[in-house]
Amino acid sequence: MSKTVKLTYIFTYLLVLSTKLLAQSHFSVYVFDIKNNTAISNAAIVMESTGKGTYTDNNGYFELDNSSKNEIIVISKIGYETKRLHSSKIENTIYLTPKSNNLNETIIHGFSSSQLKKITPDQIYFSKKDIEKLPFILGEKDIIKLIQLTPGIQPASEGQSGLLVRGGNASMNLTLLDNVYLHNTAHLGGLFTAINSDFVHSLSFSKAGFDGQFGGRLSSITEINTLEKPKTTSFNGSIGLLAAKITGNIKINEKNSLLVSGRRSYLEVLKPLINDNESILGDTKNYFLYDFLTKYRYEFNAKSSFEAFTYITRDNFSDKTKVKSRKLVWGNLLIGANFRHNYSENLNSKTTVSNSYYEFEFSDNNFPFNYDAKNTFNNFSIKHTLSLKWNNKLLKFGGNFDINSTLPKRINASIDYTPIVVQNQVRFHFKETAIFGDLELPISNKTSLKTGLRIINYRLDNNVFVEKNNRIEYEPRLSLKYDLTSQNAFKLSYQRISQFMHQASIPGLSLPIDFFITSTKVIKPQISDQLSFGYTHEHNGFQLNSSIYYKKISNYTEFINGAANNLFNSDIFNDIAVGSLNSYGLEVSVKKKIKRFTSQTAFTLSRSIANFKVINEGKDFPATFDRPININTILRYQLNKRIEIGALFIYTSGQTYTRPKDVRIINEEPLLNFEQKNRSRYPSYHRLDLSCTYSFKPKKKWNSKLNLTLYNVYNQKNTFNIYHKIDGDLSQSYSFSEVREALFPFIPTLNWLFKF
Amino acid sequence: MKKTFFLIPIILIIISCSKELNDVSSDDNLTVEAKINEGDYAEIFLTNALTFNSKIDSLAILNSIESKAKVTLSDGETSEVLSLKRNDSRFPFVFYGSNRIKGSIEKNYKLSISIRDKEFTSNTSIPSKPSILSAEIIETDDEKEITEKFLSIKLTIDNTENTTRYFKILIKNTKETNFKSAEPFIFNSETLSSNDSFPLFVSYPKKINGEVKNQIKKGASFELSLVSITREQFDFWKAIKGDQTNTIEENSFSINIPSNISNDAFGYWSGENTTTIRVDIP
Repeated sequence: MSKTVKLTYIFTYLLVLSTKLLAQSHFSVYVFDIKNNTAISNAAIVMESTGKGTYTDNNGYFELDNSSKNEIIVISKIGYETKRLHSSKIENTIYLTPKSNNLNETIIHGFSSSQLKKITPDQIYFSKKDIEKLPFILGEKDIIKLIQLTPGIQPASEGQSGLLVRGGNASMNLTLLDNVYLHNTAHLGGLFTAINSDFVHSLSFSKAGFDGQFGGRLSSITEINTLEKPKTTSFNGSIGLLAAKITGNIKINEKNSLLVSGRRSYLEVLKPLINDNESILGDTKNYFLYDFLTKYRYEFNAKSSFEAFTYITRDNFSDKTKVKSRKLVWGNLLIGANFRHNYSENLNSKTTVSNSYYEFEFSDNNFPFNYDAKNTFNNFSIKHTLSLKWNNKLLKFGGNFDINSTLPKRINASIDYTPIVVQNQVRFHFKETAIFGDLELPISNKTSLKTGLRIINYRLDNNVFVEKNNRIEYEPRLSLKYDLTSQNAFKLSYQRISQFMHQASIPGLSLPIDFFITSTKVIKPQISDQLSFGYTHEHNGFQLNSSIYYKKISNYTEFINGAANNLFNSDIFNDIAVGSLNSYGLEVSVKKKIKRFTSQTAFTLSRSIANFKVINEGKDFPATFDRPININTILRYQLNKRIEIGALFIYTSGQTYTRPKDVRIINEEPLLNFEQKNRSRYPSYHRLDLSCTYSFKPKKKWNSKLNLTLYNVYNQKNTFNIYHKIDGDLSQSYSFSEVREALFPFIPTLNWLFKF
Repeated sequence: MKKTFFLIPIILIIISCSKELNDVSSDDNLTVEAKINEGDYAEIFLTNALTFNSKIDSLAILNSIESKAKVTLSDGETSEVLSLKRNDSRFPFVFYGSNRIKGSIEKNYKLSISIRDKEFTSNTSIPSKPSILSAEIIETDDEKEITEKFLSIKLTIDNTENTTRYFKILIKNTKETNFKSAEPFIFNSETLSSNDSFPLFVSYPKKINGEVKNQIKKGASFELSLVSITREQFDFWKAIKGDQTNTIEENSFSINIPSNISNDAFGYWSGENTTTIRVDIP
């Protein structure tokens, strides 16, 4: 607790200090383009009452002394929307929005991700500005975790960063980093996601109305774009209790630029403080994670550009307790290149060539076997898209060719140097060739249509397990938007998606010990049909989005005995159950901005019901992550230009689980006999986080902030895992009890963020 | 506020659409531990389920014993109704045993249990006898006490049969009356088909005062049984005990426990073939 007291003291001190600084009424601000996140030079800054002002320099920077507390500052630049801001609302960075030619477009101040403009419902867009305004979770603006705060999406369990979207499991989400497939988005325990938000320029997330160019995953598409070419070189980073990171967006010259970003944890440093040999930070154990991104960009001319990037993520855990030698290592390696060419103002193209490799390896020399197990997934992809605009119409079309290979397991095992032969450790190879097209057009003054089709040819090569399989799937998509008024719109969307990969994982744990197997002639592709209907209202800083949806997944697969029990089996296909999943629900989100105060609430009411012939006697049962009620609220208040305070409250129904029903005696041992699958539910999950960010006075190019986040303020012991133990002596008298484990207690985190 | 009212009917529609999920018929209370060893009479132990969360002591266990069943065993040629027998050294101390039918590798055995107007049936056969080629004592550094050596018994097991075989290992100190589960308890030869023999390290873990301790100690003598079991019995134990090579501790294994007995009885009816050796630790 003494650490907490110290942190509170520092926090209070900073609060007092900031009040003194406030009286100085001096602005040091950067002006940036919201779309490209680049500095805007020569923007005019004028105080409305006096007409006095200044211009931004080449770095987009300006300083201004303001004598009046109620001054209106006008920021303008040709080609951009003019912004009028009250002096109290001036922040370190002001973003200007480029003027759009689309006359129907409505800019909602404070909510750059306006849903009125989009034809498809259920899409989320975070610009760099939006990300900056999102709350800190465990000291990080972790964008994947922040998506979990939007309606219809939830984490698998506490700490996990995988997404469960409208009843789908974590393997049903497609994540693309600069158009390249990212297989695993989580570091250990979900403590961090694999995406360092500092290098993110924008993120868009869809759970319905997918573009035709996307497929292969049933539940969601997350597109992450890394920072664009800067106008000037800049660096930003942070140093926190758990990890440090730095990102440099470097302008080499007018044609060449480089983005470099790295992050590494240093939990090792905390070992002496933890002093617990049983924990992950025990004396003989070690854990670290890192990720590293480099992107090189070259502009041939105003019409053509090329970028190449690599991204590496790595988690490494080792345990050398006495004679034991246990190791867990996993990570992604992405290599990609994008070539963009604008043939004209209305016709442009993008070509991507990439390879994404994921590997998970674990080994143990403990009895009865010594073994080293590994699973891998590799995706090589070539994709070309063309985009043509004319008369308020937009046509996108193209194709992609993917070569995939998955090795569910490769095991080297031995007993006393005698090798154990695990048979049929073969790679599965399959190719996906797709052509796609999307057309967006207004069909009347009030109605807009987006329609698309994706046709995929799936070809599985034969091996000892499976026969050749060649099939074609047709995936139609349709979205309609009806503008009731300029502030109200109704939306309707239907889509069909196929997924040829089936995953089994260990529920409740965030270790990525997953087996991926492919669709075969027997195990057909998982197919989702989804219908959603939405309503959007936006008016003067108020935004309401709601939708109801129904999603049916056929050929939904689960491993009956889970992933772990399949490690040494020769034929993992024997353990697969094929069934269906129905998910339906209502999602509502409300945002309101009143002066310096912003609130956002998301509410989801949903059910996810599974059915398998071989489970529960073929009767319906709730899926593991069926959580009927989900509510979260984000509050943000700009106390003054230096201090921002925020709060996050989450409430969600507990996940389902299967409780023991009774005790049986066999071999003189008490054995647990379980009730029907997923009949019981964990206690509801709820917690409150508070955060405060203090922005130091900028010194020319140098900006820095100090953030204090109090995670789980009232120390709610949310159940993370349930297991059963025996109390007493088996030879005398004993009883079973249920143990509920909590993961994260109250945790204060302090982060220093900087930018120069 | 108007918008809020607009949402209420939608919420009501969603709630009203929620399906009532039906309970599946629950398992029967009957627990069956039934085996027939080559050359031995059949032994069928019947108990009823004990309530989870309740105190389990000698009285509760006594009350769980099922002794009102009619148990019939048939080997295709002979059929006999089994009689109640007593063995005070193990629990349950009452079991149904055959008096005429003894286990033989060539035959199939049908078990039929009638109780509470229900009939539970199952079939099994006896696997071939396992062969232990050698046993030696292995010392390694104990994980917890580096000063003490961890003792295990290295068995070398014959693996010349081409088919996958399933085993369980039982162990007891010669001073003890009953065999207990060894570590590893179950394993199969599925991954070992290319070797003529394979080694296996066996230890004897026992939980004492909440701490698991290896019972193999210097100066003690042990009897070790390598038991060939049926695939059905192996699958039953695998669902309960999990794969022993799993690195994930505290993982809940399958809740879908298979049984080869009809009418949802819990347990197994299995042929067994046992080889027992004595190991003296010097």
